[in-house]
Parts: sequence; structure tokens; C-alpha cells
Amino acid sequence: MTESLKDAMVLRGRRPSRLPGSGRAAIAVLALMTLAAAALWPWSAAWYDVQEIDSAVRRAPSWKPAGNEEAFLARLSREPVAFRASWITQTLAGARSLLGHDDLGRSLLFRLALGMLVSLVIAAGATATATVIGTAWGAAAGLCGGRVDQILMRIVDVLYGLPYILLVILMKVALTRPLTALLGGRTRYADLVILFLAIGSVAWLTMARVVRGQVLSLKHEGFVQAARAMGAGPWWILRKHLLPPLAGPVIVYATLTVPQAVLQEAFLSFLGIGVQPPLPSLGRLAADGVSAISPFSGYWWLLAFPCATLVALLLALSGLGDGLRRRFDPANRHPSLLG
Amino acid sequence: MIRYVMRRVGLGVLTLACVYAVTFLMTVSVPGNPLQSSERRLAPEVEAALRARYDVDHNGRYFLQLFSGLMRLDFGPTFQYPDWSCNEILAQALPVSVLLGLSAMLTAVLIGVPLGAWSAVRRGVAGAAATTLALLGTCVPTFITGACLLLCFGVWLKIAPVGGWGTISALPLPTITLALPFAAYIARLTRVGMEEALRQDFIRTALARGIPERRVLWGHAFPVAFLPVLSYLGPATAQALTGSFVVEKVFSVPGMGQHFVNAALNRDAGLLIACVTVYAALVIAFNLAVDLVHAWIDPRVRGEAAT
Repeated sequence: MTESLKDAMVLRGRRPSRLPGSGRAAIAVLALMTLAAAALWPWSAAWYDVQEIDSAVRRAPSWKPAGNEEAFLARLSREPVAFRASWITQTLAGARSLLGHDDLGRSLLFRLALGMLVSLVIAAGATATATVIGTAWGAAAGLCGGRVDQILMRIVDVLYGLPYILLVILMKVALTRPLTALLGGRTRYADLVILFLAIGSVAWLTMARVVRGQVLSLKHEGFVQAARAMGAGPWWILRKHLLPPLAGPVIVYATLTVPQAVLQEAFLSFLGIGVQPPLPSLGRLAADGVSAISPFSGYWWLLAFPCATLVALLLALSGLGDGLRRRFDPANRHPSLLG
Repeated sequence: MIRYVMRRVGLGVLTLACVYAVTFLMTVSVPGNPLQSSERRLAPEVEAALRARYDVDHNGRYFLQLFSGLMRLDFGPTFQYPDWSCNEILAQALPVSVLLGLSAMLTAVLIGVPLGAWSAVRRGVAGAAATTLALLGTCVPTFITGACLLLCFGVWLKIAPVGGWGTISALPLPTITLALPFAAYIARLTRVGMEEALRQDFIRTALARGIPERRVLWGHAFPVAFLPVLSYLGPATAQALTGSFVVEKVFSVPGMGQHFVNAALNRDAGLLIACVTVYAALVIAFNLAVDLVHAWIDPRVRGEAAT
């Protein structure tokens, strides 16, 4: 018998006591990226759409700031004095060509910085939506049991069977008009809200299954039985006895939903039904990069930087979720990303 | 077994009817319709005639009309392409998507299963390869993989055509792009299944009885490890058949994806309902097929589901 086979036969998947190294590295990368994007926010939000028409169109990355100084300064002069005068503003204005410019002469640096925030906001909103729906659905199914449980989980099964992106598109189409009417003239925010609601209203299925399973196993625990014997009502039991131990798995699966939501947003934006221009998101920018690449052009930076950012973000988010799951999921039934 | 099959088929048909009704409700409850949202404003009498033709104002009657058409496998007219019926569009696009999806699934199994099994038994190179594949498949969106493959093989090496459809040489790139995420997940499933199986007592017993290692691995452990993969294959195949919008767009493959997205955006109720129905039917059929195979292989499933 070979050593490796012997090794495979012993119990290898023991639960680690701390977050695995990959998870800690993921947290570091994630914190770095998010902090950088958040710190750049006032500037990226102000400048992401500043077009420098003349010489900056599809300008390759360089240390020297691009062409139309006047347009940029004119835009800058409309900002508050404190903003204009700060040294960060001066430095960033000089660094705006660092990652090149897109086909409208807009700085890729600022678009990327804002796009990452937009993607993260959508993903966070979608995850929150999914967590609320999934927890409520799963807890209801687990608590009620019987016929209600069967019907609720049957619905989850049916939705599970349908292609994910198909449901997101249908939800988006269904939600657009009513929500735009509800949110009034703020179309930009309405867009984001619709997008994360559409993604979130599809992403809760796994959460519902996990929560239901946990509730079912918790229901028969001694402390819940004791509470019931002492005359506690279902709401009390849910709030005081079931929800606290549920927090762990819910957080783990919420973390795993975030990269999924980022990915869904990227797909939707690629298909042209995600974030509406001129607002950037990572998916939108990568999609623009894909369409900018052709046999006759070498605009590699338009594809390379957004894709690298998107992949790095997804890797870090999945690494974090996977690490948390290996640390907290007692069953550890699902295949782990890193084996 | 026959009762089990009947039960599952009945549930499948019921599910399909539910999906159909929900899709219909979702499409007609959205304000605005294709007659209003066309770029040119229609002359009032033309619009009235169209409304009368499609019975848009009476959703109940429209539903009955569509549903009776469905019973005859006729999805009716589209709102978007005047000279085409839904059936003609489906007849052109569906075989393309099915071919792409099936070949992608085959590729995914051929890559994922051996890699996963190998990496469970031998760490080192195989483990690293499996991990890399898992990362690539999970974290790189398909439109980026597709664009990179296109750039490498289509533009620089000029081995494959840059998109399009119809020749054999156009098949590999979209197939690989579509297969990667599935291959990654299959590799993970196989690996975990294999590791789990190797810890079981019957493996130790088999080895103790002196059965050759190779036979224990592939004859005893692998069939157990393959069961989760098998039950994943159903939804996965359906997803590969239906979820290839992005890949179809990157490689300009004339499949169902583009029609579905356009129909959803243009509120083309006829075509949208037709696409969703076909998708749902495919999903349900594949899930059913896999469940039946599963029940055939593993008698425990049969007993459980029958109760």
C-alpha cells in the first residue's frame, strides 16, 4: 500500500481550531482592496465620468497624466475649495492615467475604484436580502413542519431546478417598473436597488435549506423541549433558543453568497442588463474590456485591470467564505473549495 | 419501481405547469407590453388590430390561447420577429444550445472525474492541479475565460475561428469555456466523495483481504464516490444547456440564450414563455432522468422517495 493511500484513509478532515491560513490571507486582501476603494470614494465618485475627449481616448497606462487638463481643472474648480486644495486631490489628479483611459477618455483608475464599490454594495444588498428571505423561509419550514414544511421546501426544490440567471433576469424584468415608480426620480439608485433585490431574491435557496436543517435538528434538543415544557410560545423559542445558535451557519452561508452575487452582477452587466452606464461596476468594466479587444486593437489594459480586480475580489471573498465554513460548519459535508 | 417512476413523472408535469403559470403571471403583470415599447409608434388602428389578434387586454383568454397552443406543442407567434413563429425560432436555436451543452457536460465529466479521483489518492501535482482548476472554475467569470481563450487561440495562434458556428472547429472553445465551472465542481465532488469512501471500513477490509489496490480503488471506492457526482449531473446538464447565454454571446453562437435575453428585455411575452417552458422542461427532464438512474442503482433511494 502506498503512503499516500494510507494517508487518504485516515481521518484527515478534522476541524481546524483557527481560521485556516488561506482565510486569513483572504481577509487581509479583502480589507486592503475595500479600504483602498473606500478611501478613494470621494474622488472616484466625483471623477469617474470626467471625459477627456482629445488625446486621452484609449490612452495606454502611463505615469504622465493625460491630455485635456482644462476639462479636468474645470470639473475640479466646481468642487469645494477644501477638496480642490488637498494634496490627495493633486496627487490623484496627476495619477489619473496610471491605469489608462477607456474609449471615451475616462480614467480607468477612477472607474475601477468606484466600480468595485458599486459591485460590493450590490453584493452586500443581495446578500442581506437573501439572508432575510432564506432565514425566514427555512425557519418557518423547520418550525411548522408537516404539510407547510413540505410545500415550502417543494417550492425551493422547483426554484433550485431552474437556471439561476434565468430567474434573476425574470425578477429584474418584473421588479423594474414598480420599484422605479416607488423610488421616484432617483433612477441611479433605483437601478442598484432593483439589481440587488433581483439577485438576492434568487440567492436565498441554499440559505433556506441550511436554516431548515439546523432548525429541525435543534427542535429536538433538550433545551428547546424544556422551554416548550415550561410553556414558552413559538416566537419565544425562535427568538431565544433557535436564532442564536443559527447565527454561525447563517453568517458562513451569507459570506459564501457574497462572491456569488458579485459574479451574478458581472454576468448581468455583461449581458447589458446590469448597472446602467455611465455608472461603472466591475462586471460592466470587464464586459467593456471584452468588447474593446479585437484582432486589430491592443487595448489590453481595458481588459486586464478590471478582470484582475474582479478575479482578485472573487478569490478573496470565496477564500474567506470557505475558511469560515471549514472553521464553523460542524458537518463539513459540502466539498471545500481548496480541497 | 413502476409506482416510483409514475409518481416522479407526475410531479415533474405538475412542476412544469407551475413554472408555466408563474412565468405567465410574471410576464403579464409587468406594466407595459411589446406593442407599446417598440421604437416606432404604431398607428392606433394597427395597435388595436394587434391587441385584438393577441387578446392582450384579456389576460385570461390570452392564457387559455397560449395554453391550448402548448397542448399542441405550438408556442404561437412572437411579438418581436414578425415573420417567425416561436416554434421556428426554437427549432433553429435549440439544437445549437443542446449540442453545446451536452459536449460541455461531457468535457466537464472527462476532466473533472479523473482529476478529482486522482487528487484524492495522490496529493502533490494532482492536488495542485485540482485546486487550480477549482479556483479557476469558481472565481473566473466565463466571459473572461472565453475572451482569453478567444484571444489566445483565435487571434494569436489562429487555430480556431473567432466565434461563429457551423464548423467543427468552432466547437472546442465555447465547449471548454462552458465546461470549466462544471469541471471544477465535479472535481471537488469526486475528490470529497473519494476521500470519504477511502475512510470506510469496507475499503480497509478489502485491502486486508489482499485485493489489489487498483481494484479496491476503482472497483470498490469509486462507485460509492461517484454517486454524488451522478446526482449533480442532472441539474448541471440542464444548467449547461440553458445557462449558456454568456458563452453564446462571447462566441456569437446562435443558440437560445440570445433569444431569451432579448425576449425578456423587449417584453416579448410569447417568445419568453416559450423559452422558459423549454428550459423548465429540460431541467425537469434531466433531474428526473438522473433520479431514476439513481434509484435504479441505489435501492435505498427508491424506498425513501416512495414513502
